Amino acid sequence: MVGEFRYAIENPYEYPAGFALSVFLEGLRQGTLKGSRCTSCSRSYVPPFAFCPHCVESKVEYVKVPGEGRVVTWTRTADGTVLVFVAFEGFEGGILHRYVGGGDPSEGMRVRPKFRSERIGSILDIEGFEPSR
Amino acid sequence: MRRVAIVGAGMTDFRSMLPHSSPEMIREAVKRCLDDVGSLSIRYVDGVLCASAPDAFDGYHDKVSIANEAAGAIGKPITRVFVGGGSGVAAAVSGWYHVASGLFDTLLVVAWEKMSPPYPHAQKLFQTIFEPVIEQPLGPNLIWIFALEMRRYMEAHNLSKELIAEVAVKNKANALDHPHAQLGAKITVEDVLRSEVMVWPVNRLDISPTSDGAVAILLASEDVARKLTDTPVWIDGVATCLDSQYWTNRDLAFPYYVYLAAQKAYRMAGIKNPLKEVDVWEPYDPFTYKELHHLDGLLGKPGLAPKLLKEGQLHRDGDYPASPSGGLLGVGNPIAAAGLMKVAELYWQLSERAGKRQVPNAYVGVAQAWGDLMQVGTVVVCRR
Amino acid sequence: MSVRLVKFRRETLAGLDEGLAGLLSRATAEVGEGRISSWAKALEEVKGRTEFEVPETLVVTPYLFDFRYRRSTGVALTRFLEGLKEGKFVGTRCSGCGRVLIPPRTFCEWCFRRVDEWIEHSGEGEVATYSIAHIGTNPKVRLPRPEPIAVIWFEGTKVLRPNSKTVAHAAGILHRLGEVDPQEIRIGMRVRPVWRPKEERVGSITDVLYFAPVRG
Repeated sequence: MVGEFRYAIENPYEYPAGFALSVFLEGLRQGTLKGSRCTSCSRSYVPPFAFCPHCVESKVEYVKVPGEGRVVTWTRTADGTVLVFVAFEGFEGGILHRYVGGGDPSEGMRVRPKFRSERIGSILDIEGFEPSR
Repeated sequence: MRRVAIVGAGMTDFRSMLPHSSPEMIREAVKRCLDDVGSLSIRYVDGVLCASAPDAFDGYHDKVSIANEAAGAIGKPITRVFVGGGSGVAAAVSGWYHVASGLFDTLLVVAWEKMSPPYPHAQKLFQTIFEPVIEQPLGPNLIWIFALEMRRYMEAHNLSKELIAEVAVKNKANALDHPHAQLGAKITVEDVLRSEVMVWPVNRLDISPTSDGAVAILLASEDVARKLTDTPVWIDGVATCLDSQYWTNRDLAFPYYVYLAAQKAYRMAGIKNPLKEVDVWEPYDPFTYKELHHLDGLLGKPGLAPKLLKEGQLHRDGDYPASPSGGLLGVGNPIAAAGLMKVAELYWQLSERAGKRQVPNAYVGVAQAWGDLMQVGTVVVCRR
Repeated sequence: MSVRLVKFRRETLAGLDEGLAGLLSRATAEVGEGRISSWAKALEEVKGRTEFEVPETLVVTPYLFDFRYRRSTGVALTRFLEGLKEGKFVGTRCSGCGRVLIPPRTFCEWCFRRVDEWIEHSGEGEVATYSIAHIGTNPKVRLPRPEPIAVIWFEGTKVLRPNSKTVAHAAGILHRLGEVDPQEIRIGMRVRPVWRPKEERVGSITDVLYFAPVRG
């Protein structure tokens, strides 16, 4: 005969975004996408890194990311939410977010972020991605 | 098996809150370590060994991945070790295995901790270390265990709080000479005794604080080490020892697990009489009494460390300088990083780079960390 | 240089999965004003001490962990908890080393063999060590009254560890002390368990209210 024991681990957190992601989130608050470029090897990343993952030792500069990207892959979850992974020309990495364009997206589709009118410095400042006209 | 040396070390500041993200913190320590080595690009480091304590503090359960980009580990083998607070020195021990085995010529060992995100304080999450069914319903906090052990230790050797408080005075003063210390200060025994009682007999100044920070050291095999530096610091003895998790079954007066680990490490390093042959000691000091408790284990004689403290022998100019770095009480306690900081201190001491903290004639050093529920002993012995 | 503490409002959370929206608004509520001035101080201090470019604004985001667990108590602890409900301490004894284990375990880690002799114990014992808590899990908040806690070693269970003359072993638990002035607690003091009234016991370590000195 074995019994059952229930317990919970609960705690609030205050996450500092660090240096690079603070630049990214402040960029979102201002309605722009920011990335980083390595001053040594020129590789660019979005979201930005404060250092170059390839070189490790070198410095980076923060740069604007073009407003339009392409869907690399997408999926629909059980409750109907559609998620897309969007990559941007010239940048490694990309952004995972919701697709709010109606219907299904497709691989290679050109999309833009739909920013909310009131922004606070969060990934949710983007409501989702929609097809660019 | 071949000899392994530490050929460089670097660390971030230890602070109660660092605005860096965890990868940024790690990268800062790694860059400073590689700058210290000078002549090696990250591309030629064969692998990474990382250590960080409970995931609950960082708040996301992806520790190895956090270290990846920051330590230049993409495409390379990376291993994580975890033994609670002992992780920092355990990282050096496991790192030694990697290089001594012949499988890695160079290895970056990094340890970090981010304890600032939990709101309002990381203390509540320490509760997850206690057994959920029999202990957590009592609402314990981690300081309880230390207080229970401190009371037992005081009883076993008839020690006063005044004597034990001298460890805080010594270590915080030592930390004034450490460039990355969080808590270097000139305090007195009265300051410690007058600070708030947290869990009697532990007062606030008996405790090292929670901190953010990262440390990185570079290990190399003998041939490579001699090409990279004129002052390799050899790791000649390593050992790990765990005692039972049923800590309420054990007499807490003597850290048997530290003693056993130290004996193994001494044997490996060819040390027959540690009291005579070791020049620098870096015992783990999350609490004042803990430095003495662990030193008893390292020296193999219960009650000897407090006697040496009383005679002033644990100061930097004494015969048994302990925590010349300033220890956790002085530099800070980002859990895993604190242990590796002590190994890095041995590197700085034995290569004569410790500046104002330098212990004269430092040829052989011992660093030790401890963890989990009063049960982990990890020891390294280094030689110039 | 500033710190922005992100606050999730209803408008931002509309359209999100209910569970996530609930989590984020609870996080925002619990973190409140957060530790903005401490973060600002940390940001200021780091300038000139880091090779990174320090941004004008540090963004801080609230979040909340809420993990629920349901675990089996296993064969041994289940019997132990049932025993507590009935007002007694249940343990096991290893036929190899003779150790009594309270709470019980079904294997002995010294002998590496199964343990299946069950025993009952009065719960009386001695204080192996003790301390007195003035804080709970938030170090900045003092408890209304200092609370003594102890490791209690059950009577008759002490053995010396093999291969060592310096370390003793006994069946013991962590618990609270009561009916005692903190000043009079001594290591070695004899104590007995004080139980909750029968109708309030549920099969938990807290069915024992505390351990109190054996007087007279």
